[in-house]
Amino acid sequence: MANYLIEIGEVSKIKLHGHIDASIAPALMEEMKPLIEQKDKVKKLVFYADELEYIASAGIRAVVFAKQKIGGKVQCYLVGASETVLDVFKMTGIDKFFTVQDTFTE
Amino acid sequence: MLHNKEFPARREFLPQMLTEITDEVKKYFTDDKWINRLKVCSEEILVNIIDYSSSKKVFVTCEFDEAENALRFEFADEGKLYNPLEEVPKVDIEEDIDDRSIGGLGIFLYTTIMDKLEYNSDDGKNHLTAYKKLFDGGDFLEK
Repeated sequence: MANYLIEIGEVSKIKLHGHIDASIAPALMEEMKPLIEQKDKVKKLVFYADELEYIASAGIRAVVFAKQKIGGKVQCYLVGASETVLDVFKMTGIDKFFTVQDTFTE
Repeated sequence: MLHNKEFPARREFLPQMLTEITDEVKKYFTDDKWINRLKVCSEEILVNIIDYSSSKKVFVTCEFDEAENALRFEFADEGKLYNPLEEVPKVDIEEDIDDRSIGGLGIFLYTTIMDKLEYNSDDGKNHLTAYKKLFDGGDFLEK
């Protein structure tokens, strides 16, 4: 099973699993290119992290990359993140740009 | 005990290195947040060695340092000499996400999380040593 699953739509969903580290993040960034190419249709970008066990700075870079490429107006959500995953978002100051939720609510 | 243990400096050995480091960390820290933070730091340092040093080996230490009353992490390699602490990029965590540079987050994390960092190359190898005090969010379980 891949460590991520991407669904493109008005509400685009990126489901993260397992570990998103330096080994996985470059492929994730590559796989997000179709999403970025269709950025005009994306109003909300939801990162599902309920099955994410670990994220390193390379994973945070991939998340920032997606947000930057899609543009300033998209609303970003971080859903179901564990305390340790959320801690890495907080240490890098990225959490402030996300609506952090236990379950996705528009 | 993890003292100067040699690993091939290759990506496929990174999970094993991090597992062995984390097993040592868990002897001294019980808070999942700190265990994870120290894993993140170790990964950031090891990935840089594996990807950029050209060293075939990396030598890993994670042990209690009585003088510092800290867990001491040492990462040594035989690659080209490079002191990552010489130019630590500034990361402004208050900066808007759309204006952020996506580089430098790894070194920002480990220089923020660790209490003390040292670099030396006196023996012709790179030695990056990082200390994390045991009483800062950690539980002292084993000496």
